[in-house]
Amino acid sequence: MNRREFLRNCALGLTAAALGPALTWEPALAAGDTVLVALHLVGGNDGLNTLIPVLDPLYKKMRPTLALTNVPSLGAEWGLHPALQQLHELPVTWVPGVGRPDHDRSHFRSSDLWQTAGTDHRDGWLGALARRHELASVSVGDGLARALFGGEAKALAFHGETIPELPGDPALVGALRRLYAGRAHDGPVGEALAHSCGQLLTVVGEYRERCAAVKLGESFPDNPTGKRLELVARLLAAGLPPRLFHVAVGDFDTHENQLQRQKDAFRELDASLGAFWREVQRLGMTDRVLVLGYSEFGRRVQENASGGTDHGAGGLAFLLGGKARAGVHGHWDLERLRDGDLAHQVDYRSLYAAVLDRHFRPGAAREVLPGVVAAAGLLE
Amino acid sequence: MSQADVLWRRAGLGTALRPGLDAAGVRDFLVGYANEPDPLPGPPPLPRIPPGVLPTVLLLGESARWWIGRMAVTQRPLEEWLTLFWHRHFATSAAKVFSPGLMLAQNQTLRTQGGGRFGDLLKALLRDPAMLIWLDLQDNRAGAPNENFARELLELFTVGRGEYSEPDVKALARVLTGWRLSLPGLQAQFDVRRHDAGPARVLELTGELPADRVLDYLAVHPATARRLTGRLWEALAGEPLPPGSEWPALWRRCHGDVLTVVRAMLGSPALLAAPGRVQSPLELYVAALRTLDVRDIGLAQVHRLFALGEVPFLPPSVKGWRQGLEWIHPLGLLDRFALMEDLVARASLESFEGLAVERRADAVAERLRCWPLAAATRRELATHAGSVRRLWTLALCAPDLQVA
Repeated sequence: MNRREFLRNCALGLTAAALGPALTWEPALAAGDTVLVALHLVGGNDGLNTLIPVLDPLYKKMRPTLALTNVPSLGAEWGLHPALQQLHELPVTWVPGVGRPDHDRSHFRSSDLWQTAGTDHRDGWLGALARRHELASVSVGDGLARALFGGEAKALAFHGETIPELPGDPALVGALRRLYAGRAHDGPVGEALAHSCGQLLTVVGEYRERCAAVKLGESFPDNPTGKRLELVARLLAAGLPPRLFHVAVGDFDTHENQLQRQKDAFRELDASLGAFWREVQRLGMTDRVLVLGYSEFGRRVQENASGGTDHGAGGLAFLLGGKARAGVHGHWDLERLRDGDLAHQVDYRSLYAAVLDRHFRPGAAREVLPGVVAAAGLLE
Repeated sequence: MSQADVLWRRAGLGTALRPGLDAAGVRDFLVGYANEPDPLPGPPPLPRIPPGVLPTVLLLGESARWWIGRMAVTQRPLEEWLTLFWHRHFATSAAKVFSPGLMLAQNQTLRTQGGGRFGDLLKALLRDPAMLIWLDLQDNRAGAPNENFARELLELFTVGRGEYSEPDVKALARVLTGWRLSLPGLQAQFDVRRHDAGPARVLELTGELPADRVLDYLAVHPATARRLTGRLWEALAGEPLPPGSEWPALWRRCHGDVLTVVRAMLGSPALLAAPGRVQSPLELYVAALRTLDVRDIGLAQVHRLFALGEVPFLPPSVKGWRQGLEWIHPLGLLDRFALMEDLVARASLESFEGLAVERRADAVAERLRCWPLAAATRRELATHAGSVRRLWTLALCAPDLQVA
């Protein structure tokens, strides 16, 4: 539909009978509100070749062809993958040795467990937070991320890089608007239908409108990661309500040809995240926005026969922004592998707990992850 | 709206296959599916051993397509209704099982055993390779028990929370030891060397307990009777079991014979008076496929169901999918609208294109005969009859079809 028809739809929405509160998911993003961008590096990123233990002889020994040398330094003991040039200059918190006690090498299962904090409940860890505190959330990637399940009352999911479209037929949209509004007094189900449809037709329209109107300072790379992070930047710049974002990027599943494939994936990620962070700086939001990068598992230490690595266990997470304390927090233990995999020293749930308590509100971890102790030292 | 229509909507996959029948006739037709011919092909012979990640993912998509295709054309709707009911109850996920062949084998077990005695279904699932993998039963052996299956069997599949204790879980795990998967065909096999044959106590049952005996006991336990009839009722009527209802006693009297209980439920006035359940995305989709007589399921539509959170063989967890009002939220509605738009775009609607504009809305309502369309809906349909695609999309997206 063209812009004129589109605006007409929005006008229809605004003049139609009010359907209850929160038509744009008020409250809008307030001055003190923090924002979390959970960035899922899909496929199981090889943490060991991302944050390199330059002084460890076992590293080169166990990876005769894959070991990276002469890498940009991150202090005496550490180097960073050469393709992460912009991230190298940013105050990133690197957390090697993150993992799960209940190890699973399946992409889907492992991803699910990371996103539900291992509870295997329907709700994701961020969705549980969203539900409790009525936060709006946005999922960029393949539909609504499991991490955000539970927060559907105020969630939008973008399949890929674009804001969802309403059905492209304004007459259809108008008819549906009227029919659903007419159910508002038909018991709890009618009310739910009326409310959801009203929210949908207004929110999606408003989001498209306001994102399109925003002028960003940065230009983002023309690739999927770039477009997805640009979308998040637009939503932030437009001052729209969502405080929780889950963005799926890349394919980091480097079973073969890892040197090339991981480099390409990192080039894309680095350029996109660099542009994103500059935009966040321009908006003056670096203390309120926290990026949490994670992957569903790390990879095996030994190379396989195809110039790559297979699914492993302990991996790498990172934080950027908010109160995150820059530097490397943890280590790779190449001496004490577990069945050929890097063990983890940091349980990923303790990472979540730290984010919940320090970046949202003290006590949030107890609500969402009872019994989990927050990892110390990662956030102020 | 007639009582027969209520039954078609709630147990007949959303279309009136035999429009002339009254409520008793519909009930008999639905429950008597074993008497209907089944010309549909069985599950495709997909590999049991996963052939690598990407091919397996594609084949799982094909498996979902096959089942949805069956639901779209079957003349035995209650059979598929029950298969789906059991799939939700025993929510086994391909994310872990990761074998198209095994997922389809389980699906077929649910289909062939799903209307019989619940105890027989439990026994069949004890021997189901997908289940053995899903709940780690193959790792459960004498001296090294794995309690996963025993726990879910008690908590989710039979008696439910609050009806058992930890010692019951441990004892049941021991009783269920010995099953494993054998290569090359990934069949289930009982290995007596791995079985812990010692005496056990599970709830009120004690002694030397063969697994089948315990499963038969659990199948007709009073708590199971309450829980399972409650779930069946919820699936049909969209409300919890009314207090003092006679279904649990009936379950026990007929030894957990599912079709006997369902037949009684379909004949009860309480069902006709009940509010009905919110249609899940898959249920809405199947009803739409059947209404439009679409037989060809696109893989793109399977992807949309995935985005909607309800693609067969991928439950979010062993607890199953969402239910009822949990399905109603802004994004969910948007995705439903998109799914219906897609479906209508692909359907062949020449018979409607050929009708005079003023007759089209009635023709749509006639096709949707078992769905009560509100006056406001009929007015909108009449207003928008100029475009057949718009008309049908509106009908399938209307709030009237969101509750069965």
